[in-house]
Amino acid sequence: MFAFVLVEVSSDPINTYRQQLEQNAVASGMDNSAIDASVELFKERNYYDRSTPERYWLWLTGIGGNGDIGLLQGEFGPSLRGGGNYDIKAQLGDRFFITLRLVFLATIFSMGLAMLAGVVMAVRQYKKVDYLLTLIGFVALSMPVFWFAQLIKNAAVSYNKATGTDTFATYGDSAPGGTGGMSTGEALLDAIAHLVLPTLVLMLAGYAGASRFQRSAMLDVLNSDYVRLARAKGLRNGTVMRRHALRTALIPMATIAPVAILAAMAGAVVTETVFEWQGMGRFFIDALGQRDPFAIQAFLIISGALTVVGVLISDLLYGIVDPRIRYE
Amino acid sequence: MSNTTTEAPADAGAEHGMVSKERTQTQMVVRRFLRHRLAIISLIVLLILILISVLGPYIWKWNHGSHAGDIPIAKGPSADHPFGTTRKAQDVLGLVIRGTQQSLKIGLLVALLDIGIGAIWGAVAGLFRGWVDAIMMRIVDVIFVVPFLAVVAALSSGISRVSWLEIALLIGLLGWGTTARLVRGQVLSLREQEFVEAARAVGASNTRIVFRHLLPNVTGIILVSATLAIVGAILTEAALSFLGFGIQAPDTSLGAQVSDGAGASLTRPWLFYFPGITLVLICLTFNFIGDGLRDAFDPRQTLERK
Repeated sequence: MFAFVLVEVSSDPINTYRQQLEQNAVASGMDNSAIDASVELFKERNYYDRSTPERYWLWLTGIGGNGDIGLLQGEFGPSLRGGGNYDIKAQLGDRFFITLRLVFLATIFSMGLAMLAGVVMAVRQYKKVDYLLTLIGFVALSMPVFWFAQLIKNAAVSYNKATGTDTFATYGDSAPGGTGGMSTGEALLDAIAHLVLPTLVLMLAGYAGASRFQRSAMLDVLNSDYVRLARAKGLRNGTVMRRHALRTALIPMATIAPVAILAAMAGAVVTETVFEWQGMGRFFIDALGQRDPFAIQAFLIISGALTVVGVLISDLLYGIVDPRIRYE
Repeated sequence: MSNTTTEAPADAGAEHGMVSKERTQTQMVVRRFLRHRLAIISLIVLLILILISVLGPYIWKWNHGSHAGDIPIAKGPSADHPFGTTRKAQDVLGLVIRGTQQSLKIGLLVALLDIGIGAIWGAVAGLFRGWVDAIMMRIVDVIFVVPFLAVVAALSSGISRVSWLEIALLIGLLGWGTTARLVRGQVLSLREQEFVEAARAVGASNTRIVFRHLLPNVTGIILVSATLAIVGAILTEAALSFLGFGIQAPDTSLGAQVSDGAGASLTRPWLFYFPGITLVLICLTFNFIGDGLRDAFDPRQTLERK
């Protein structure tokens, strides 16, 4: 799992730094030896005076570092940005929860909606409702998240303009002036107002796949022998649905929920960019844009760990909800 | 299709006094696909899009480059420029043609890689089982666990001036895990069937079994998986371009155009909507074709009796 992080070392921050210095050389009055000296200092501070395997070991364990590196000690390493004042860990800590609340809300809503739509589609298979919902699902599946996000944002901005109000907040994760001057209730309302649109966008992205999944799960159940038996016994249609079909058909959704959260995390990177949120996605994009290897690695490690946990939970849930599956 | 699967749909109708011709599986699949109306419409639309993207540059007078002096700057749709023009004096129709071309190229190459690596990988793992399977599937797990968009973005940010080829290779080489898993699952059950045993008995090599007997039997899964891979690849490329790690100017892609247009989507909507709608259209057609293929290859579907 850690192996892929090594790939990230392929970027070359030292050259970028040197080029920056050389470009600024005239303005800052540095000559060549001064540049060399700065580069050396920069290398040393960021552990780039060591070979790649050494740096990898250091990054993993933190033994022999300055106390700001070493994954096993809970440190992600120094940032190359902002002259060493950019604290990766603190930044991630703040941003993680901003992103998390968006992702969780979106997943809950999209799963709920997908279950509803999937069951309706299956029960009304090959009827108008089925075709309509299928069409919506496919269109949602075919839309780039950022395009839809921009579409929604435009609609909200137009609506705000037309009505002369601030019904929808289209910028940031909280009010521009900060929430310091507000009471708890107001701050909560503010957070909700900023959550509505991004959640809507992420929701649609997750809904598309999940509703197809629910539809086929429900169809499988409806065509199964025990539902036929229940009907043959003369049970009323409603009872068959409620007591027999629905219960079984909703179970498989539990297994895709963790994976859906992961997909929403990926979608959040894009959604945050459109709505200018200061979340994890933004952190990653900034780190990439400025070639900050330790920050990039930190993000990849966290999302990698989340993926492993998510897939594990999904596999375990599979065993719990389906008693036929046994782990040896 | 393989001669190892001989289904006889004739029996089904005969009992009910219906006469129905015996068909090969290929004919059945084609017939079922043709009944899927949306898939056929999608196929036609897609063929038109491919034609436009291939022939467009020769027919349409403006290409995706800048034509400063010849083209008005940032004007809405007009007779000369049906999709409008950009602030850099580019014709948006020319841009869209080029972008469609790039998206399709990326999608098709990724699909090829997906089939080429994923299907063979899955078939080999499923056929051999045991420790070969264990090692091969662990590798798939590792690829699966990697946060896809993040890693592709990280890698492509390391390449200066990314071309469509590099993006397609990145997406393709990291994206074949799903296909491998699906194919392996099918092969695990196929390998126990008599025709594989028969092939073994007459002394067929493993290579022959994989390519002549196993893979033809999972064609349906592979094709459906490939269409989904195409959609995934096109959307990933678009997202990459949007985040600024995709194809860079002077070349262009639909994703890059949409993200350029997104900033001014209220004042100059044509920059945003035309490339975006084209992108959605391409993905929609592939999704419907995939859906049609899935239905067509599903052996549980028996349209004969309806």
